[in-house]
Amino acid sequence: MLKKIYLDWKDEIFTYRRQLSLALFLALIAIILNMLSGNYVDKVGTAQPADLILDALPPIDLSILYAIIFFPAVIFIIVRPFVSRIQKIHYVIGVLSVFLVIRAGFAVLTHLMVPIDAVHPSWIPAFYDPFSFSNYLFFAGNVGVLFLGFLMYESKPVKYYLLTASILTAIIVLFMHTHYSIDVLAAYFITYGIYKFGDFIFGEEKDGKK
Amino acid sequence: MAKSNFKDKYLNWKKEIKKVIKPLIISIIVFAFASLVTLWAARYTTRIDTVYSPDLVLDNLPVQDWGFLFFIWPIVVISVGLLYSLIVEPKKSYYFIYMASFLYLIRALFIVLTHLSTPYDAIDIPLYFENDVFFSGHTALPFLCFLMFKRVWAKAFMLFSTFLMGFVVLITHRHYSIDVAAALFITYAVYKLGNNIFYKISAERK
Repeated sequence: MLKKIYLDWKDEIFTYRRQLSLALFLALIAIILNMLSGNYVDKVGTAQPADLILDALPPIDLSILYAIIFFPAVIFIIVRPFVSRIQKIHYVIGVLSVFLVIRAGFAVLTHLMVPIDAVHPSWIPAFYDPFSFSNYLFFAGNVGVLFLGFLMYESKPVKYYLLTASILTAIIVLFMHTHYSIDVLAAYFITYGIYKFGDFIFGEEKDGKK
Repeated sequence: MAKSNFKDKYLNWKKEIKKVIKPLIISIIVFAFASLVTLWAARYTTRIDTVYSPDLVLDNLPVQDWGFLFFIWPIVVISVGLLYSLIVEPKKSYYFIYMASFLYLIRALFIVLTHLSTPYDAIDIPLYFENDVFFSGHTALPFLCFLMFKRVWAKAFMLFSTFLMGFVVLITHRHYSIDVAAALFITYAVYKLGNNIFYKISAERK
């Protein structure tokens, strides 16, 4: 039984091997670009502007909430297609990679520095380490990636879960002062544009978009 | 023959304008309100303490005094946009104005949030306000028109204006590069979101 499931899974992977290869290649580029741009902005970030929302919110350590809400949701976005939506693996990896590449592009442009009173999350899992930099501010990737999940999946409960997680993460990062408010608000608008662009490139298998 | 053809077209246009006159007036009132909100937001950013930020593009782009284009081209864009709306697609004129108002309101919201100043070496422009940097309205408005308009010549003009304005605000150092890059994405999302609201309103009237 288990072997049959495994063989079916392997067959499906084989069917989509070309799209998957392209998506994985793009993912590799995206990860490298993220690390390069993250290291760059950590060196050059200098400007710490005041912020209407942050100035009104006292910084609070919500590391535990962040760990409980954000990381499981990210893992869910990545793992879900491998488990139950194999025809969607290349789509999810591809759109996520486009998201990461565009975010890396934005991050290096204007050199903002993390707010002075930011409370950095006390725990970050190993898989997220390559994407975690303190001055990696514009736009808020943690908020954007969950919103991207909301846009990519069509199942209602999944959508509600990811949208809720995205809004909660937005509130948490503002309370922790790890992002400026334009980073968070712009993340929703920019992610929508990225989703449309990524969907245009990787979204041919419409039956797989479930 | 040509004269009567022109007269027919004029009468037809007049009929179409008459049909949409009420929503057109309402949309102009909404636009005036959105402009006031934007003006208020820009006055706010002029008053408050701000800091400027280094920028990868600006630091490598020597500042040039293209203030004339910075000032005049948006007026050209608005004039072409208005004439297009009223003459070429009068039925949708109020929809265009609603969409522009919506973009202005979203921009007003953004500019009051994070207090960056206009780059320190920006060229001097005799404006009533300063520091309304994120996101670039110069880039956003022609891009919105590009997305909304149907005629190829109008689309081409607006796309050209988008790139021209994006370049001008960067070379004059009046905006940071994220202001320009983000303007395109934000405008696209505003267009999609605004379509859901205002296009339905205009479709219901048909």
